[in-house]
Amino acid sequence: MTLTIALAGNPNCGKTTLFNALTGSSQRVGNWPGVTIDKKVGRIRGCDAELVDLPGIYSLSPYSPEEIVSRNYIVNEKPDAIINIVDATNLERNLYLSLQIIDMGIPMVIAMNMMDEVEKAGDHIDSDLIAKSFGISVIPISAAKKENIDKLVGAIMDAATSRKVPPHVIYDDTIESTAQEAENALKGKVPEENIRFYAFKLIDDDPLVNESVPGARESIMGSIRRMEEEYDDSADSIIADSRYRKITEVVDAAVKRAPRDERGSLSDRVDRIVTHRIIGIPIFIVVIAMVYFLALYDGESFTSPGAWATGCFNDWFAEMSADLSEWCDENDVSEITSGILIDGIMAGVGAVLGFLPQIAIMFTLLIILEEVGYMARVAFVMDRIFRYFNLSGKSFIPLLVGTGCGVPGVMSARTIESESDRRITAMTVTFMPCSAKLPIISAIAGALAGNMWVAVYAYFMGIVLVIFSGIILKKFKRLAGNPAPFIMELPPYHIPKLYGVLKGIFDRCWAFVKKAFTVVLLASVIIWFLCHFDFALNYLDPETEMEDSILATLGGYIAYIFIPLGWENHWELAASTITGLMAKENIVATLGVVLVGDSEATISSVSDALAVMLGNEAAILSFFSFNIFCAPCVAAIGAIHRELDTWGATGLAVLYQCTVSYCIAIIVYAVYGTIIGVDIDWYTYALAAVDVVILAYLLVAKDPFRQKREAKA
Amino acid sequence: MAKESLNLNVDSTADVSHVPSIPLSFLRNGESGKVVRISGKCEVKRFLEGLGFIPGTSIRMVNLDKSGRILEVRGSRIAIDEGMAAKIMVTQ
Repeated sequence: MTLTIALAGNPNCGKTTLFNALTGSSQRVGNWPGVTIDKKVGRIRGCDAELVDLPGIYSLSPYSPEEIVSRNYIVNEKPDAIINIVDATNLERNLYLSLQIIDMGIPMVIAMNMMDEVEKAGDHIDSDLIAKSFGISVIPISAAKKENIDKLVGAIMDAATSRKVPPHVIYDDTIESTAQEAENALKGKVPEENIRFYAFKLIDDDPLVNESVPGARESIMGSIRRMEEEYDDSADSIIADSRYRKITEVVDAAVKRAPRDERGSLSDRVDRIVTHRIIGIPIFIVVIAMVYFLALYDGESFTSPGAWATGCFNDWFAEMSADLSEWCDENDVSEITSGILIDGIMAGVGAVLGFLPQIAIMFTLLIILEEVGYMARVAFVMDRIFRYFNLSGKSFIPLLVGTGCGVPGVMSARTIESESDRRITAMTVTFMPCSAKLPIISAIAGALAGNMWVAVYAYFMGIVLVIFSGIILKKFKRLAGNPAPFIMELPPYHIPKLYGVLKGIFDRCWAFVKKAFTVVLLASVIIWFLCHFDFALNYLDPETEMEDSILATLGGYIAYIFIPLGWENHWELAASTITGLMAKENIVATLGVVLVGDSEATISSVSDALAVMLGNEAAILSFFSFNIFCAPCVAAIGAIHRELDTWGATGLAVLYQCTVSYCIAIIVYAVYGTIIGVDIDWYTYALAAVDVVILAYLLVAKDPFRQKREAKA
Repeated sequence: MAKESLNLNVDSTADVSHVPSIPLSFLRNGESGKVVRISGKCEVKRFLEGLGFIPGTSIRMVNLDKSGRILEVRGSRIAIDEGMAAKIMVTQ
């Protein structure tokens, strides 16, 4: 029979690293709490056992939705055994969860992780003493260095097959007698083997038991009152306190701490700078600007590594395309086949794939920032701004994940405790520039002469739009609500592990390449077909007759919508915007296919084509703003639906995103166009003025649901 | 919120009159205090218990700022906002 083993522990204590070591899989790990937001299943190597990786929890009283996943799994699914992974550098707090898992009456083993760090600090932990004190096996391991993993597998398989349940942790007599009464009150109403867990939950006044066994708490109220009087404290604090007392007793005996050196205070000093009230945010802006500078900048005196590599890559592509075209000519390949191959696939996929070097460099830098532990600090820095606008800094973590891909970004909104913040974040994460939007960012940067500031604009405008949405959306009854208090563990700074960084870069680049050869390739072929045939399915001469194609006709209708944005009546731009809904890379792929009909659909020529067609910088920025902030791709819309539950709400979210991006684009065009002296039509001014008035009204209108800001203590 | 913090003041004088306690937000950089009590919503309190905030726990202020704080609690760094810091009462 296949055994089921659960992996539970505090956030950011190395669960996913251990999961990968045990199963040989390669799930994403990161240096901030909440990387795992849903349970993941894998098979333990060399055993007939399934391992379930659960989101990190601090206790079995869940606080945010992803913690509920873990609690419910342990309580309802009843795994055969639990590996409780604890961070040896922070034993006391980690064992608090262990003591609660012990009450579950499920066979368990403690995997004491990060033993290498403990040794490095010169500390010593007597794991046998801890094992003896609690009556469970304690295996010191290092998940990152894969030390003692075999021993852990042996111990957990033993525990699961022998079904040996850990002995109860015995507290003071008063608590024990209250627990006994609670157990009597619950007998027969909850599973027998978990009764001690439920008994403590009953004393804690946890909704989990109160709802399933109504009246039970009232029946033992006398006993609880007596206990509360004796300890002069509330019941839940008494239980928490006794648990920590027990833990401290054991930890004091088992751990010998070496005197701390300066390292701790160095991290504190760094924190004091990067989280500083005034310079914290400028530092963050500079850091992000540096990332895009290294990835995108292409100026007269300096070419960034990213732009240089992309240039080389594109030259190579152009050469290959030319060779292929020559080969087609020599071998009498039909016009249509060579058209699909060169003007369709090579132009579309090539235009997207050409950005791979820049994407790789950007991810390298962002992953290093995450791994070091800096990004968790930024969430704390952002909380200050977000909270001022009635949002929580926790919303920043999904935005951060969203710069990789919108789908996991939307999903990680689950780490946010307050429902209104969670929904608003899920609706707005995709304002952030994800990797699929990078080709369009780079193409625009090219059209504006290697200007990497468009990327910085996209990034920070994304954050501004999230804040802005928080202000507006909270004024609607369904999304009203105050953020939960900001409480977040800051992971220790550490030097990124080479393997982890390389793995992260490879995964993301591979996803990009895979998408280029599937979704984008398919789209390129379809686009090529749509722009080379008319409705009667006659093949059109690309030089002269493309205006009659299916795509031109359809795009022509839609193009009217975008005329006020300064895009003029170009069906190509409208068509590329629509194909972007399937995948954002398609915007550039479509432009590659339709604009650059010859075999040189390289990045610079898409950029050039954009510059020529849109004519001025204001229109380019307006095209950029709409495409970067409007509805995300279908995959992300699907993710939004999963978080918002109904298609109605999802539809409203998409409509909201499109409306906001349209307003931003028109305002950008009108304002910037006026500054640089573009001849702008009266209706653009009129629409822009109406937008400004509506947005300003929504921003300053009184929030009917907002409670008074807390009085300063 | 405003009402809650009002209650907090009344409670703190009535409940722990024998131990002089101050809100955590009054600690300065580098100063330490021991938790006396935490007011606020039940779930938040439980979450803080999971993080190691229980009466008697020693807390060190690592980085104090007008609107947020970084604390050292049982060896780890916890960031909390101003409002939460006002709800944790400590003795020095």
